[in-house]
Amino acid sequence: MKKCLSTLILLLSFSAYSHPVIYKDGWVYWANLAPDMNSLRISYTPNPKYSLEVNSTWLQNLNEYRDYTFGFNYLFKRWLAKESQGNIYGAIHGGYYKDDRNDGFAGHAMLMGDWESRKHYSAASAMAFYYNDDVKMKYSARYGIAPYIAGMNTLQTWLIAQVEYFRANDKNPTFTPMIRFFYKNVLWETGANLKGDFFLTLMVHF
Amino acid sequence: MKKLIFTLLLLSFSSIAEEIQVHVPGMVCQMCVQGMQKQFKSVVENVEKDISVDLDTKIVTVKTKSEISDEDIKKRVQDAGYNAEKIIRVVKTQTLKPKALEVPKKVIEIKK
Repeated sequence: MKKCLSTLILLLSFSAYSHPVIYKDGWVYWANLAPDMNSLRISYTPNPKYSLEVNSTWLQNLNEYRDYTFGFNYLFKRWLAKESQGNIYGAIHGGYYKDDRNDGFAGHAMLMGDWESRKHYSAASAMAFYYNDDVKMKYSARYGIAPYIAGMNTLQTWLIAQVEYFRANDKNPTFTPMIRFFYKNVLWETGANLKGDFFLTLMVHF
Repeated sequence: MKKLIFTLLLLSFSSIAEEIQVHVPGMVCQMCVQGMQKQFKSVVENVEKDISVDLDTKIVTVKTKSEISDEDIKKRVQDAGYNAEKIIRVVKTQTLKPKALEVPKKVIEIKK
């Protein structure tokens, strides 16, 4: 049960690590795939300050858990330096969940910051997750490095290390190495944590 | 007289194209490229050819035949999530060949 819930939180955290708000009239189609879970997300950015998002998650091992949420993502601040940029985002999502035993309200709130140049990438986030009348907290951080500098419309590659701590599990932080590719409007990420939990994320921007 | 007719004929087949270069600090990834292409696509004929983003120099180059003001350029860059720091305009005259005058690209084999 705890493992499944942490998987759900892990899955939600991956959505946090793409830019939640993009350019005006931009759409993002996002899918997270793993052997026992799927998540789909669609977001629309009407204004470069905020975006709207619908989200659906399915977890086979958590009593056939499903949720359908609607969210609002906001760009609090963007710093633009000559060779880098930094961002602070917030998000609040709420909706309905259903499993074999219960149904009700599910929601999460997130605060995230990132900083990236063409060579280095870092991000940190804190997320509160509400489900089954309980609130769980999760903290995570990422650092990535590009093995080469890519130009416009060429394949961009990132080697990323992620550390996260899910307080409800009351154990050591989890380390997940991963690789990210970004070509034109398609981004995909794949990796596995040290326990062997594998995932694939696909994201397309329009 | 013939010269004048030829010049007028040539001018009737030419159009003014403008190359706009915008300096945009902070662009670091492919997402920035997508944003710029999205915001400027309505003023170009071919998004892939007419809009380019140099992530080294942080310069967005737009080749357009539309009239576009500095304010409009700044607004489009802001809609992509960035700020335009400097705008440089290069006006170019481009000669267009009418289709009727184009030489058909056909390979004729001559049998000996």
